[in-house]
Amino acid sequence: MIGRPRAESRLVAWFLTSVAVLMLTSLVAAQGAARGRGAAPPGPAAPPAENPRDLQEVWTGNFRVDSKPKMRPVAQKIFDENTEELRRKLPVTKDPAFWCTPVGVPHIYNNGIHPFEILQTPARTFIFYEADRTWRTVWTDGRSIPDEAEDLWMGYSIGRWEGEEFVVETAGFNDKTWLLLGEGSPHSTKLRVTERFRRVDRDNLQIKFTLTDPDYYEGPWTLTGNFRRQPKWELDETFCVPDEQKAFDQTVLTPNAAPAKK
Amino acid sequence: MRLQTAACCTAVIIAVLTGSPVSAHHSSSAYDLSKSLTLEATVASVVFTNPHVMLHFDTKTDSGEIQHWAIETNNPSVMRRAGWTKDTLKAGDHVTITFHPAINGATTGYIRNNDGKIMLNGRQLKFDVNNPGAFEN
Repeated sequence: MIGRPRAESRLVAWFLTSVAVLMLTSLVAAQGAARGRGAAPPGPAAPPAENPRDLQEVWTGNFRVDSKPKMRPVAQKIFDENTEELRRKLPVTKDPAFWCTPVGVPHIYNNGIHPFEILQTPARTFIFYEADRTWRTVWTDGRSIPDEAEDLWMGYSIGRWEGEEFVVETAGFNDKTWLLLGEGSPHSTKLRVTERFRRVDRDNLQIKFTLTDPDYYEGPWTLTGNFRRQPKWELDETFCVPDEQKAFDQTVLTPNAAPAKK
Repeated sequence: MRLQTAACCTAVIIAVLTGSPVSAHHSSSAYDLSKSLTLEATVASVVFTNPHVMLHFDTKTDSGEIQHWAIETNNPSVMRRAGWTKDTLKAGDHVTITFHPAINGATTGYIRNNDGKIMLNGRQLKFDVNNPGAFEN
């Protein structure tokens, strides 16, 4: 556990850096708004977490893509098919998630603005996602990802602590999901996702993602997620219901499926 | 856009550069996010289902015909978190609503917190999950 001197030094560090972080946050927010895209910026600085290894909160936020590798031809062909609607400026209905299939990782983190909640037990950590009311089990008992883990929508996850970073490795995916919401990037069954969770302070959680998929991409994807503690929130019920999705399609999307005739 | 202007006697077209991040939802590409349309309308129904709460309302065209609109809001979880209930808007309520219209002229639209506006009896309805309570004041 953390001793008092360490906690005090953390408080001092927090105090001294708060102004700078706030200024940086404002700058990042302004830049993000100017670009009109990107992840939610880091929230305002907060006092240090009492225990940086305690991640058990409800978190909300989003991520940004730091680097996107060049696609190999096999992936490019699928990407072109996936984004055919986008190029025609039509609603994106080819994202499998639109039709209520599970969304995969890291797509689950930016499936709308839904929060997630982390629960830690001695042998495993659970991540509950409001989006699609789904969850992941991260095994922390020292096991490896089993060879027979394959064709999974959310993959098979193991985790370990490296200092104050919780490192989660996930593999065993199928190839049926898109990496990001509505964007079209495919992945193969060789996809491997590394997530490095770091509780920046009491109110902020950062996750650094590294995605490797050598059959589809020439190098790794890197992403950064910034998430804010939501102490007053509870996970709500959010399901993708085929009948409701169909009604939404008929109400909103089908009328727009082709340009209006003048 | 010209079709909408001609059809809606109460319509005020306001072209805006929103400059704000837009939710990366799968359907937002159906809408012209660079334009906003403001209508005076009567609420027909509010459908509180996934994936998005839908606001259905009617307005009158220049020729006096009733025109039906369906406006996409946020997910039910988000709307509940922002303080909305099924009774926040009821059939028969008269509202002034500003939203992003469909690209191709269909009578559909898109509204989000800080990206659109609904006025009911002089009070603004909001969708702010960080400041719950359906009304601005």
